[in-house]
Amino acid sequence: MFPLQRIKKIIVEQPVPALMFLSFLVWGFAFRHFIFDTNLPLISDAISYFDHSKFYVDNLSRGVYPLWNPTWSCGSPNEFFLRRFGSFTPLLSLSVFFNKIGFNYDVAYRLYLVVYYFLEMIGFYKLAQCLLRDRRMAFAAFLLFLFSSLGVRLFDAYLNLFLAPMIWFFYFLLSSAQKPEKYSILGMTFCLMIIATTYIPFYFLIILLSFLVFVLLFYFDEVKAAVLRYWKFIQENKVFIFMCILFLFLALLPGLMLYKAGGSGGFVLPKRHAGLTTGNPIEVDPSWITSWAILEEIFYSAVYWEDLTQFNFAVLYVPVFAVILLGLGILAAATRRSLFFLAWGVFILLLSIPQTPVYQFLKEHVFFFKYFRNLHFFLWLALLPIGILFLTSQLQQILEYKPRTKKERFLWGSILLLAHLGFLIFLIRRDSVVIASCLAVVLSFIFFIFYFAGFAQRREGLLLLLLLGVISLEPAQVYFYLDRNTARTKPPTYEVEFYQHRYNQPYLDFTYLRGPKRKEVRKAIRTDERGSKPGEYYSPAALYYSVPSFSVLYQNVDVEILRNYVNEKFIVYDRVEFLDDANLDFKRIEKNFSENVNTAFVADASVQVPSRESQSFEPQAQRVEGHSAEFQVLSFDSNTIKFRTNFSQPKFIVYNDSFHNGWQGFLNGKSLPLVRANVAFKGMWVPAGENVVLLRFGKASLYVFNIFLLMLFGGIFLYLVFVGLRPYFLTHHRG
Amino acid sequence: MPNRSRKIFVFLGQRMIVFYFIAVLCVVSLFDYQGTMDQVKLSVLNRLMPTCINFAKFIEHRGPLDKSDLKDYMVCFREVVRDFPAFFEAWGILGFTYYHLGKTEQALYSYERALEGNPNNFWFYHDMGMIYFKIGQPEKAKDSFKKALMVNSDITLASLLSSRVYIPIFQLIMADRRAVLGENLQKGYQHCFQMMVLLEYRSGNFAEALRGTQYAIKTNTEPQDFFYHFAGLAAYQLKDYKMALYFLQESLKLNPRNAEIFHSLGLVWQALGKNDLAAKFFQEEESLKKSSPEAASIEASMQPWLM
Repeated sequence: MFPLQRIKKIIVEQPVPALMFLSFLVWGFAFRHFIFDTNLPLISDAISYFDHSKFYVDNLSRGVYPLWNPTWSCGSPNEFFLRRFGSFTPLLSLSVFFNKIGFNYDVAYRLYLVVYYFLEMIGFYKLAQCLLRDRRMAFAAFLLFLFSSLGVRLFDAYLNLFLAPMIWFFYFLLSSAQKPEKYSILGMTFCLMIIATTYIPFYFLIILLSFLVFVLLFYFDEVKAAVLRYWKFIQENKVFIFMCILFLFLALLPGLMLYKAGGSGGFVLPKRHAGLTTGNPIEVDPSWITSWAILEEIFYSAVYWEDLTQFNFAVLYVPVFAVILLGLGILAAATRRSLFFLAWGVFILLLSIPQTPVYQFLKEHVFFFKYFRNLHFFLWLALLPIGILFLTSQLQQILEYKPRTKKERFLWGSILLLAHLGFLIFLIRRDSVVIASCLAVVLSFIFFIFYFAGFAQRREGLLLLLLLGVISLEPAQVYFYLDRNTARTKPPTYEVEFYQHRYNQPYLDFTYLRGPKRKEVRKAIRTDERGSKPGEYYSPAALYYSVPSFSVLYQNVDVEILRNYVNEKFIVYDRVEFLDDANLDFKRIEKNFSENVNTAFVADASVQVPSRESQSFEPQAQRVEGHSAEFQVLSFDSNTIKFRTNFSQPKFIVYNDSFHNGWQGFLNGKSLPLVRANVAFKGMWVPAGENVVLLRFGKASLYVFNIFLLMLFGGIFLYLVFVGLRPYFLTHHRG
Repeated sequence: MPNRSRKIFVFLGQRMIVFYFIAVLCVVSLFDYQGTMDQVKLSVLNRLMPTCINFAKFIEHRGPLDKSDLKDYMVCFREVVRDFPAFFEAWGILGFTYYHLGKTEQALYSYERALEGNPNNFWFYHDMGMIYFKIGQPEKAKDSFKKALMVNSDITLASLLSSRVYIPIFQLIMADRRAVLGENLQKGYQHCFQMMVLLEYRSGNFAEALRGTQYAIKTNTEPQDFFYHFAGLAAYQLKDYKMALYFLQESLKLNPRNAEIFHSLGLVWQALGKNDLAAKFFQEEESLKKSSPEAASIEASMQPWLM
């Protein structure tokens, strides 16, 4: 069969895949500038996720698994950020692939997000197909979800990174509940592994637990039968189940280790932890939770529903066809499925409103409620997909109605006409009329008429194409407005800009200086002595993440003096002085920093001071601005640094990279004790003569574990893809 | 219950509408709805509030306000006036954003609402005058400018400095804000005067225009070259060519590169029968226009800006 004829055959016999592909093209066209035009920047949280992903990928490409980030807050453990964006997700390699084939990394990363999003949509289609048992309805659900404003969140948030595995998890769960198979169980396991290692898994936990409760309430008999089927499967596949549990356990370890690190003071999150004085730093201050929750998100979105021409980011939006379904669905019969979605959705809504007793009760009695703050995420993660599935089941109800008599047909047609006409009039009378909304309403009416005229049986592909037009028309214009309303300027990288993270500039190689070389040695002037700068602020409380000691320093030392001090990464001292943490004299520390006094403060009173030939010292410490005969950095990556020294006297070197217990020092191959110097940094005595010092973060076993997990995730993913696609290839080969 | 009614009741009872109703009741009854909604509205308004730095720069004449800034303000203050319709200062800013976005009808309505609560704000009258001028309603424009000129500038300044809407913007002004606002007000009054003269002239009230310009010249109101020029034009229209010549020559001394003045002088010399002299002035006008097209139009040289 000729290729063209084969394509035509596929389209006629299986219009849904072809139309899904067309839908992706339409979506891609609507968002083309956001994907390919780097003058349209990523917004808000998407920026930091891009930054940290790039940092990770850049290091991996050099063979380094970056457990430390020397560029963040003068150096901090990187595990927190790896968990945020999900470093084990195999699809992240797509960003490398797109980069290698010629796109700059900015675009390559966006393309990776887009592919991730499309896979999420395919998962949603399959989930809807499982639930609704009708591929046309599943296609309708797919379209509503694809063209909702969830796609916009790719460019200003990170929700899709953990929504995608959640959707696939539910698909695998439902398909395995009907017939447990190794493939779907492994799929569920893999999705759980991704969820456990990406951002905060508690959103998923709440959605899953609430789903199970309501499924038990509404589908008790079916659940009983499914449990029996699962039990039988477990009995017959014990080794397989054990492997799945083992994989899941391994995937939980990074999160648990992060939690433990937080509890033992490995890092702090001052902005997020804010007013809390006790507890793990991952805990959120309650004021953060209640300041912006789900009602705020809905009412904020409602501002833009009234005038779609001003459409913006973080605005919940669904195509107007969803509103038509909501209206028409008022008179639809209440079925068990509709009531299940409605009840579940209402419960999620109630637990996302902090003022309700539902939320209060769960916060008191469920321990993990204190670890996440973005209650409005439930709008995107749960209410949006549940709402779309609910509306699609309403559509199914509506389309199942078969008017038998002429009178019934007339009545039904009139209802449809009145509903559409009424809505059209409502749209036209608004201050800002979006033409595409009006056209979509007209097309929707035509769609229903065609369907009830029996068109579906004769030309399913055309009917679904019409449905694509109905659903995608308005979003195309709305996203055009978004494109037009978005400024084409580079935003600041972060709200608080102590250090700019410019991973698009070269940063992987070692530099002796953080900023420009000094033209002259000058005393740094305090911020308040330079005069106020309206519109700019350096607020100590705005530090997002760092090691505890750096946070203390940042909050108590003038930021300009601190910035000036850390400009040189290495400072060589002749003397040390013990400074008790309980009695830190920050004025003195500031003075020492700004005048470059030749005395380093150490936090350990037992630091041994080696004997010296001469007791005369220079008044000022030696700031290393480049390599010399006395000091040279030999190698550097995110986790290690090696340097050679050749001083005539023993020297105390302060490496202005944050001190952390995970760092180990080696002097000429032997263990070298590191001390916390100048409140927050690494300090070490080096003897006179030629020495090679190696500083390394983390144990070898930790790296091995992470690499192993990376390979495990990749292996399972490839297996799932191969097995999942194999039937399609076999069918076409035989065809 | 009659059979038909029972059938309808049973029919409706099995429809989703009942469960929608139950769901809504459930949600609103489980917490203090009104109290929570007040909080929610405030949070939303705070989130909608755009960053004010560009606005502050605009006030200090350090940078323009672009469309996206204006749209952000429009979206925000539209909600503010919806939730707080008696917040008249918010109506004022909304009027400002509507005007700059070309929505003149909404702008006028917003300013009228703003004036209901604050009839002593120079800028509201001034901006309405500019809108009426732009949409070709000179009588209403004149009326608005007259009212603007009658407002005490100190009262306007005091109300601006104490305005809750403007405080976050003014905090970002680098220089002494009282001095900046005072200077802007002064320029606004001058501009108002200019517009009055222009409108009187355009509507053929040359005697009024002449009176106005003479007053402005006497009180040293800037821009003096503009007032001298219009005094000359008004005198020309009133056929007092000697007076016209005097004023126009004074104007030329202050602004020797204004092509329009050369044109006006040419007309006066022509009216006096000195065609050769007139031709020279017309020639000079042409050569000035070629070398500097911006020097051509008086109206273009008046930069109407609103506050």
